[in-house]
Amino acid sequence: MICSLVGCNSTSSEPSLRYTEIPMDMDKLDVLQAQVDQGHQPGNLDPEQVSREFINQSLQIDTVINLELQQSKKNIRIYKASNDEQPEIEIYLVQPVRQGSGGIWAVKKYRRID
Amino acid sequence: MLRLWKGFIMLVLLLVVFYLPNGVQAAEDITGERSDKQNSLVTEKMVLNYLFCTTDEKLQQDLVKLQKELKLSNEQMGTIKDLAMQEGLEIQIKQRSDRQDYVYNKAMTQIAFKHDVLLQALLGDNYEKFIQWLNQWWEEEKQFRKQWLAKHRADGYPDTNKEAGVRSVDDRELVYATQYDGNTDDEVALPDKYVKFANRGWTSSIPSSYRPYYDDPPYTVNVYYETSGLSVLGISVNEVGPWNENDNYWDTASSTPDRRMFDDLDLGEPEAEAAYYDDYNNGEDQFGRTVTNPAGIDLTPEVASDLGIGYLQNAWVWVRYSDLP
Repeated sequence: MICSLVGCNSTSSEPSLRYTEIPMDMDKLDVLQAQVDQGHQPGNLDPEQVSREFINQSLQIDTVINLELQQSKKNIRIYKASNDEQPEIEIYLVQPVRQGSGGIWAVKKYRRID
Repeated sequence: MLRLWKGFIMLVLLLVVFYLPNGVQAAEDITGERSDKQNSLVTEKMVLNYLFCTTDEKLQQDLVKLQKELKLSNEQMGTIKDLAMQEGLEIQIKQRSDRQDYVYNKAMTQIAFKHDVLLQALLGDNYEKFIQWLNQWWEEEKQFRKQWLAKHRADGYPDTNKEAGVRSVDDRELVYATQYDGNTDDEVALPDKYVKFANRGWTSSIPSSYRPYYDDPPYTVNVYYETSGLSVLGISVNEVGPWNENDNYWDTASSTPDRRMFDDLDLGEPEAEAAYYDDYNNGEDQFGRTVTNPAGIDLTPEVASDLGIGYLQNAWVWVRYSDLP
């Protein structure tokens, strides 16, 4: 779902400290925000759920992942995802359409860290 | 010829209101009046979508009554339905803003206001009568619906005993269903995020105190549509919503697991339903957003179609929750 929304780039499996940017399709995100405003898929209001969707759908990682909130600013959240099999992944989220409690979250960029 | 001109004027109005950069302000200029005529049923409850887009015998009769009493043409009824559908179609909010105070309720009011302005333009002198009718109808509908729900819930699903494998009449509830774009075609959404987490394998996101209750996925439900006699069995709960995330309304305060929020409501009564009809929780969901429909389950269009419910139509369906924690 998130992958189709943001048009994820394929990424190298090489460990890297550089972020991979996720291009955001604002038209689609606008529609998603409006759908959430109508009561659908409120999980998009929760950056942790959006991070998990991203890990599952875009990075295709199904194994159980632990998520730890690293940073929380007004409309920015950074999570660290980890499990025993993969390098740690840092996920950077923003509220692309509207800020505040009713705004959806989307992954802006991510990086693998060791 | 006159009809052609009317159609042309409506088209221009629609374009002005929806496509000019500041559509709301433009619409205000057209009508020259705003706040005194704004109607909270249209701008807050969004009852047009409820009235025009719910497949329900009584509401269909109400529409016939509305058209007859206000002498509305088929064209006018069609245009109002289009407006109501647009509410359901999730009109794009074009005003992206960095302002911190730009929040949900304001955005929704803005969308609904556009609809109200269009209604005024469409109905002209009949607008006041329309709003008056709507207010009267809503009071009556609330009373009717509460009694209707109480009776049907007490009676249970009528065909229960005819179906093999069903345990009892108590294992399903009557709830309002809306439609959403799912992650897959065959899934539904219920307002308990832990069911979604369990089905997706996101166990670590479930608090340890609740994990034992959600440790036997996949969790599925059966959905029955009485009007068509069709059902969808064993459908996966793959998403959370509508509206809430902690409203496991098939549990009670004293059950195991317990109903995590809104546990003063009746078993089987979604918070959104109480918020919509009774202004429970100030008419808001757990996030403080104004609830604009009474939905307790979200269906993908494919599941809705399998039940015989039209695209983007809403309906009352029976849901069997007995496989859920």
